[in-house]
Amino acid sequence: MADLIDRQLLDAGLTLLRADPALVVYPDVEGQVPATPEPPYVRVYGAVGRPPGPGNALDGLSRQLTARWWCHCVGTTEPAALAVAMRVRVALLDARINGGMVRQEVGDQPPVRDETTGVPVYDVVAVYRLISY
Amino acid sequence: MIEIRVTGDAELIAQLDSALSRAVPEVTAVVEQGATNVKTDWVRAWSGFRHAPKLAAAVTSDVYALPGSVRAEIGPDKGKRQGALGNLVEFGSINNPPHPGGLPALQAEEPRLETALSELAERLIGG
Repeated sequence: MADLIDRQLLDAGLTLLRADPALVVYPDVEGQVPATPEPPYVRVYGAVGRPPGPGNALDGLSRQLTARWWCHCVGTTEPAALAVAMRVRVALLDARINGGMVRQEVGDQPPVRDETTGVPVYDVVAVYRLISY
Repeated sequence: MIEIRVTGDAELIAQLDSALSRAVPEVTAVVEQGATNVKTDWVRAWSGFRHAPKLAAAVTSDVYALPGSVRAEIGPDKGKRQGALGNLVEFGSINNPPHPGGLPALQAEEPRLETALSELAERLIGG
């Protein structure tokens, strides 16, 4: 079971995304992801780590948390996927959470065609990161 | 009227010239070590995948000394077996979560590389 602080950090990112009414975000508020979601949507994977870093230097305790959101921005066409990526960027980039600011760690990648769900869609991946103490 | 007289600039220029001439091979060595560390971490993170057992072995690192810069390129080589899966594994897909190897390895190395380069700069300029 994840730490409560981990859960809160990741949920804060999802809440920012869900604040955009035009953006369909998975997992949804109940943590569910449909088997075959209908585009456009953003599928988010999140993780929190405690890597060594300057924030841990003073007393040696791992105080620095790094939260990452891998955002798969999905649309039926390339422009649609890019439009989702833009909305995600507006929602997350430079947002303040828990004293830190969300940064884009890996910029929007070119749309990639994905046919794994049986219906061809385009996927733009962007990774956002928050360093919190 | 204020007059400023600077002395010792010839010695400073000579010292900086000397530092510059030694910088490229020494910076290259530091970057090579950093690249090796990133590669080692990355390989460790990607080792033991049942669905992509050869992926870790596809991670390579190359260091290039170019005029005015030293560049390291680390990551899965698409020409190697399962290397083309690298993007899918690192970033995940709409159906599969990511298994990041490169990002955390780079993040772990960043402060070490910074320290090594700043120590090197002090040593070079200090003579």
